[in-house]
Amino acid sequence: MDCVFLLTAHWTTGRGNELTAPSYGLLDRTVYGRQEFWEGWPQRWVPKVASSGWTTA
Amino acid sequence: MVEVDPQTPLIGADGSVPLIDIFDGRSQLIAYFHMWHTGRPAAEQCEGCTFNTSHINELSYLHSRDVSYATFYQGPYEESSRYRDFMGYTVPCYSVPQDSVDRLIADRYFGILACYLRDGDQVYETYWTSGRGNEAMAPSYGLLDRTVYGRQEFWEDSPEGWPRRWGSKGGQFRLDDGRPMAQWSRIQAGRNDDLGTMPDGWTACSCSLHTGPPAAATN
Repeated sequence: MDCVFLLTAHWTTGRGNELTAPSYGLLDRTVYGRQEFWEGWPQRWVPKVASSGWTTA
Repeated sequence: MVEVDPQTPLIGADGSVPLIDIFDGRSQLIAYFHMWHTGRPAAEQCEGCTFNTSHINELSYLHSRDVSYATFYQGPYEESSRYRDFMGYTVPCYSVPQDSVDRLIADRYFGILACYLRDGDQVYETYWTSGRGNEAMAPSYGLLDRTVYGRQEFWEDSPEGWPRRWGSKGGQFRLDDGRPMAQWSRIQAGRNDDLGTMPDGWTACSCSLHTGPPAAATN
């Protein structure tokens, strides 16, 4: 009888999951970035979206 | 950051549209400049641009950040919109008329990803990238990078015996007879890949892709 071993080669979560979703990688190329609260903004740039998700703040 | 003429015309479904209108009222625009082999069949269109563009469908998250998105095709609108329909692309699609190429492309080339900013009635280009930089559009390679065998391209420093059958000059995005990879599922689903007759005022592409060996053979 053959023995089969299943190995997890890699796992990720949170921001690591952005690999599946190009929107954030594209926003990172735009001048205002992701527009989340935590980003180091110049004075006149106003972030619009909460850092906890996609719900409009 | 480079100022761009906001009135630069592009061609959409209803004819000529100035660049600033493609922002659709938003403050930013991301555009992918899709290479085109005018007068050539779908099977001979750009495998890399097809790889990049076929991954882009859901724009809600970009729109939430006040960012619009569009594909700007190098070729005539009649052909490129048929290609869009064949591939089932859902994002806005425009053709860059030949008089507008220099204003948008400058000394670069099609196959670039560019970001624009609108300030009132002025437009600025704030960023551009190309080649592997375009992978920001397309999750497949980033996902492969997390797998144990990686991209499986020849150049990778993999242990002996690991799969490495793919090139890096375009062949990695084509299958079998050289058709861009994402076209196969459309063909199998019975979609029509006829791009119609080349419209007046355009010249058929005579680049080396159509005179040399297929890209799949050269990897």
